[in-house]
Amino acid sequence: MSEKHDHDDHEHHILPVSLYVKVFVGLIILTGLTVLTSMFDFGIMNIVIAMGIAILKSCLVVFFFMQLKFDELGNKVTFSAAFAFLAIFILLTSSDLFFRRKFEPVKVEESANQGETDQNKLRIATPELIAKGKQIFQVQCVSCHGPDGFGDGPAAAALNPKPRNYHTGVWRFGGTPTRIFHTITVGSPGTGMASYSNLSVEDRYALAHYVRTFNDHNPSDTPEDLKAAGLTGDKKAVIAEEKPIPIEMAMEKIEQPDQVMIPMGVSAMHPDSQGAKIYGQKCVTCHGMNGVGAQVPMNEGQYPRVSPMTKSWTGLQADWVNSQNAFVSLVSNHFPGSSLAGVADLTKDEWSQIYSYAKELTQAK
Amino acid sequence: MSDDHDHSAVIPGTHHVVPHHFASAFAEFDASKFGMWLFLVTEILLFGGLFCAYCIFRGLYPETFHEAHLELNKTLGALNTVVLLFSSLTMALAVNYAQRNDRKKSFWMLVVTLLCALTFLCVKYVEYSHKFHEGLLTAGFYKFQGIKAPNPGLFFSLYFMMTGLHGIHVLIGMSIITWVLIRTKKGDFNSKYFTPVELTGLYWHLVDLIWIFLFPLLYLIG
Repeated sequence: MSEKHDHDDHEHHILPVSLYVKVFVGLIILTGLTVLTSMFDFGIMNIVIAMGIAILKSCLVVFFFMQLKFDELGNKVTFSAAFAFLAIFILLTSSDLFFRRKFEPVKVEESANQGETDQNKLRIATPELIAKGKQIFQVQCVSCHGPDGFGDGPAAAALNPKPRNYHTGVWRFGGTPTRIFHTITVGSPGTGMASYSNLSVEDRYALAHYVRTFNDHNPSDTPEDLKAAGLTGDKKAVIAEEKPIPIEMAMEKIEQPDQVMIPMGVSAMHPDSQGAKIYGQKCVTCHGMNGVGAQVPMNEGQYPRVSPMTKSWTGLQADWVNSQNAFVSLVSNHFPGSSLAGVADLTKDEWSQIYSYAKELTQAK
Repeated sequence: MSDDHDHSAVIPGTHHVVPHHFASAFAEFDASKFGMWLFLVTEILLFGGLFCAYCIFRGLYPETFHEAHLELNKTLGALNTVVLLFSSLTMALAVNYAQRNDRKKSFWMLVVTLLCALTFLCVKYVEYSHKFHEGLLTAGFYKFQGIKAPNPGLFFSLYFMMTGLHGIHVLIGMSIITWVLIRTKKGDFNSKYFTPVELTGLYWHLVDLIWIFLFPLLYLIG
């Protein structure tokens, strides 16, 4: 117990030296214990034990060395409040880890119609694939990801979140060839990264291999990755596809109309029409390819940090579908409560071109 | 009791004058101590940001943290823990002896505390130079090849930020202890006035407190 000394109006608790020594011995024993337990694998319990001991140790320091046990109530409340707020801070932030959607690679449908062996071969990087990937990258990706993959292309400034910088080795959906292939195929929801399923499977793999070259620490496909991607990955299959694809088959694939490379920002439907061009310039960022709806890219510093999803136009029944006037007045004015900014710089011809194109998209199947 | 009336009284045996806006020397002590606790609250929240970042990245990359923490030297970490705990003991005793009016013992306890702090920084220097040599550096400067898990630079960014900020606190603590040491030698403190010793003690224990969490999180269970 503390001896109480009253010096006039001073009132300090003077603890016996032996108590401090006992507390110190306790701290050393606890340190030994935490080192000892860390040498065994208790799974999740390791962190529980270590943090339990750390909290016990800090209580000893705070209550006896800092003498908070004998301090004013106000000081006790003040100091405890720090830990209470710290707990709120860490728990609420960590909740992000528990509620974030897990990445589930889906079997990409091409693997069905082009044969599994095709992808099993393509998922292995070759100098030819990387060179091809570089070429495609310079056309399709540089505007956002930058010429050297630093995520600093001219269009990057307007994007939030920023395009991936491949040099960091950080991947949202995994950095293995099949996972990057998957991201290129389906896009990255909530970002400006659209789906590039219009590129051929080989082109997408070529891109995946190329963007992996910017960082040396990118992971390789594990058997789980391959299974998730619908690839067998067993030795037999890999050996079986060492045979090159017959040239005729490759040519055929290139000539297939749905495999035609479409310049970024142009819709896939009648890409040569004027309406499609206007759509590509003004609408595609928010309304997605062919008006199927997309996540609206966020502006720098936008608050709240919520990005709405635009409605799909497929089969849409709305006033603007039936009347060009309604369409023009809707689009040229800022639509209240939405992110649609007014479009004011179109000529009369362009208005009718974009109107008929948009109308066409609502009727698309 | 005369303090209540004579507001600018010099505390007997010291040069300390209680400012006139305090009713008594004890009221001044109380206010100073409350101010220090408030400052310590901000310190906890300052480190709290880093601890929060640690939690998030550990949750995202558990394998990386596991592999990377094996590169840290447990023995040196444990040694530093013991050194810092011992310095906390001597600091607490320095305050205790000041309260007991034992100036000489208080002085020597402060000297031991300072030496422990110096030992801590020397051990840290050995650890840091080994990491620098191996290329185990913050993300962006990371050169080490031995870790297979993704983004090992992340762990070392956190390691250097957390132990670095803590190290800066040790340095600041050392300079304050030196100042208190000189004033103790000059006989500025006695059982009636030892506020600077007490507050330095609180600060030093907080530095210890933070290390109590850093040691297991970084060295033992990364």
